Amino acid sequence: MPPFRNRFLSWAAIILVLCVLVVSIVFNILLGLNKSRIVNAANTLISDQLDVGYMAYVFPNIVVIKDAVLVPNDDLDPARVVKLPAVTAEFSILEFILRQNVTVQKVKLYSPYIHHGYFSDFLKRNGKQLLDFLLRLPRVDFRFSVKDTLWDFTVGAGSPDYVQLNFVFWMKKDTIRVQGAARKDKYVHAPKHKTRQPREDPAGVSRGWPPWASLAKGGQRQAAGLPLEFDFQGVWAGEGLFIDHLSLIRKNVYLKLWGSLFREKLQLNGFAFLDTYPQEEYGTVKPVKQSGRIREYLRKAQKPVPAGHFQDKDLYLMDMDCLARISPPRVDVERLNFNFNDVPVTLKGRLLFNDLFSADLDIGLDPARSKNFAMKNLNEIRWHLAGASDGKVFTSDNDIHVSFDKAKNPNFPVTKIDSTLKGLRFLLDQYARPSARLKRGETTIATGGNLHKLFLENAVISLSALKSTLRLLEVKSPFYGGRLAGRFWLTTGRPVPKVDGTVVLNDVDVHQLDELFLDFAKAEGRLFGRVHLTSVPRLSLDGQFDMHNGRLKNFAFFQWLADTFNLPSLRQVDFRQVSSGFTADLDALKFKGILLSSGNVNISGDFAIDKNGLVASYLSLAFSKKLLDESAKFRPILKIFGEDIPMVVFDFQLAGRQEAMNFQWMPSPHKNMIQERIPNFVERIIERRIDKMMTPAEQPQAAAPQKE
Amino acid sequence: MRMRVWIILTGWLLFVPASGYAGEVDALYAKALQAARAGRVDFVFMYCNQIDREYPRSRYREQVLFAKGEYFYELPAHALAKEAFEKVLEEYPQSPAKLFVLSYLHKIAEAEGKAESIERFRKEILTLRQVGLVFKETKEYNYSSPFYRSYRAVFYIDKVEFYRGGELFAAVSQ
Repeated sequence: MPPFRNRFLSWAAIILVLCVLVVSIVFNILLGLNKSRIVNAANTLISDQLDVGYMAYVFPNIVVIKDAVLVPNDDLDPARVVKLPAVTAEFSILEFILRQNVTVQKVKLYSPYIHHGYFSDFLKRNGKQLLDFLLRLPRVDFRFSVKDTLWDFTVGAGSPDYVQLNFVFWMKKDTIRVQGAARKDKYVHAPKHKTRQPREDPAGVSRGWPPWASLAKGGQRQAAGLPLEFDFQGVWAGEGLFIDHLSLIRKNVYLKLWGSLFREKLQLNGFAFLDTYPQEEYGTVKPVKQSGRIREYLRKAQKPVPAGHFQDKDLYLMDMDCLARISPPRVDVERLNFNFNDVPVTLKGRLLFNDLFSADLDIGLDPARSKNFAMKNLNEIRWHLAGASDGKVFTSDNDIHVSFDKAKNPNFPVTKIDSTLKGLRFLLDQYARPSARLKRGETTIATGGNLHKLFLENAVISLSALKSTLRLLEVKSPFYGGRLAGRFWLTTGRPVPKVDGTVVLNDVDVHQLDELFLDFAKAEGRLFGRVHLTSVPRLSLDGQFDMHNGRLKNFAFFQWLADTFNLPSLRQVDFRQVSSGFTADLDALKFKGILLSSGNVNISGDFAIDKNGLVASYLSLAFSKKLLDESAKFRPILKIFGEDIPMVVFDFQLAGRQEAMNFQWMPSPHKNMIQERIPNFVERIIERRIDKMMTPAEQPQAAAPQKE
Repeated sequence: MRMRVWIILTGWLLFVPASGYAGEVDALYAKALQAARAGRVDFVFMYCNQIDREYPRSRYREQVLFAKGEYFYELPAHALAKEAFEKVLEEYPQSPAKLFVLSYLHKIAEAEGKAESIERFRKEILTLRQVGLVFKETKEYNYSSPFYRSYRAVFYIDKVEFYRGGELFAAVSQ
């Protein structure tokens, strides 16, 4: 190489370096001088206070902003902050040289820290003017990326709760795309003196954490959450936006939507799959080498949707079709139709996103149109919800109507359930146990021609997660002069969801239950009971009830005895105790260990009625001599029993149709004593009378009982 | 006088064929009973079938249908037997043979393995009559068919037993 040429190249390099130096120095000086003006300009745009550590120019087209902090003007809480430790902005050199115009093309945020509560308030205060400002900017190709955002949802020192967020937004011509992932990790509270600097985490996931995050909150990461990846692509078209796709993908979630947004009209179609029993919510935190990190990046970069991604999902929403009019703060959902696990669902109504969020929705489910729904006789569910939220509590009034198709399951007794829930208040606190209060609830259950009404007032309902698939629902409420306490364990694991529950009734006024069960209108007393419900292997109830010191008035059975045998005292039975165990399923209702004790009559035994209305029962009735003395029919037999027998016992077996039961007077010592005193012809007369009594007028006589 | 002659003549024309019709059915039914007494069941069926085919509104229709049902059940031609017995239930809901018709239908349903029908007829049999047993343990009902078969139903508190010609034919329990 000739020496002249070498010398030229050397000088050219020196001049270039000098130019770079000069340009860098000049621009850095200019930036330094104008830093306050730039910050002030930004501060005029927003209501809060922006502060910048320093700004630097890096040749040829990068501006670096370090330690930018956004804090509220009126709040001195150091936790309420948005911190941007490092921001780089790249502008177009060509635009700058040709038109002396600074057109930012790329902005990158590194490890920002966002306090959720503060940032939400900030957006409420400034969101609109920021959006207007961005929309006024000339439309240029632009890329905005955020890396390792730490979004702080922590409330209280003992509950560290952060979301890690990475995303890229870019706009090229008319195409907009947003891609990224959010991840919620598992943290435990760690005392300050034991907290390690997150920067030292070998996994590198928490790299770039601002020191105040862990130090202030004392959170220590225990496990990495499964990331929720999102991908949006849209195309500007005049006054609207075509939504090419919007995908949300997680191990247990797959959602894909597409549609358009023109003026106020949002049209969306799509589908979703959801696995509500994910095997693992968190992955183990383990050191990752550089090579492993590269492999992880390459795996994610491919972004294929696995073919079997839908196979293990237990909830799926298909054929989603949504048409809504968005006129902020109001959204009118004209229709939102989808198939939820093959059950057609329709939703329409209004949402209002003011300071007070409110919703007025009509939701309908049509299981009858589903081929796969297990409960074939469930016809339709209509639910009207009108509610509002102040951010802390969601209060709603609900009308729910459920109808059943008798033709599809004649054995199912319920034809309709209408429920009105007034003042149902949900506490919106993610750190507290989910709980609700019901001011007033009224449920009417129609079974055949009967209506059963159930009232609940001031009920408290709470839900606890005992394990990932086990929930505990607790209900406590005043109940007809007494108390109701219920506990239901909901197991959502495979193969089928399971419900187990117990309801305890304490000191309930039986007479007030007349609208729930008509027979209670004829009873007085205090009821204590326990009901156990289970859904596996089949829906069944069992339990026990006790009533003390009450009264039965004109009770059907005693009424029949009183009329038939002329025993007027049985029209009203003052009892010391009535108790029974019971079991119920779709095949039969059984009362076991029935016990009634009163001055005049004691009853013990079992009683069962099956789905065909057939009764099977053994009852032992003991009547006092005083009671039997009331009837001329029984008076003659009283002489048979001596003073040592205070009550005469009649054992009966009952069977047959509930409305016209067969009965047999079973052998017993007392029956033998009576039978010994009665001549055979009297027995036959009695039998004939009973036959006559039990043969209805219309019953054919041709195949009459054989005369003996 | 002339008017009276016309009235008598018209009446004669109306009633004579009718009595002839009734007489023919009676004769056929009498033949059927005679054949039944002689144990010629095929002839019984033949006469009953003729009555059913040619005089579908005769006063013997109920017995004829039951007899056809019995005959077809014995062949066995369960579908035809079922058809005949169901006609008895449909056209003569108060028939004295109803209980035994139900017992046949229950047996046919059992033979065909139709659980729903078995359950339906079981319930109908158990609830057809209400029995009250004070000193006795059973109640009995009897019926004689055109085939001169004696039927007996024994009602227990929760069970019915059917005897045909003295032999246990069916039992239905709750």
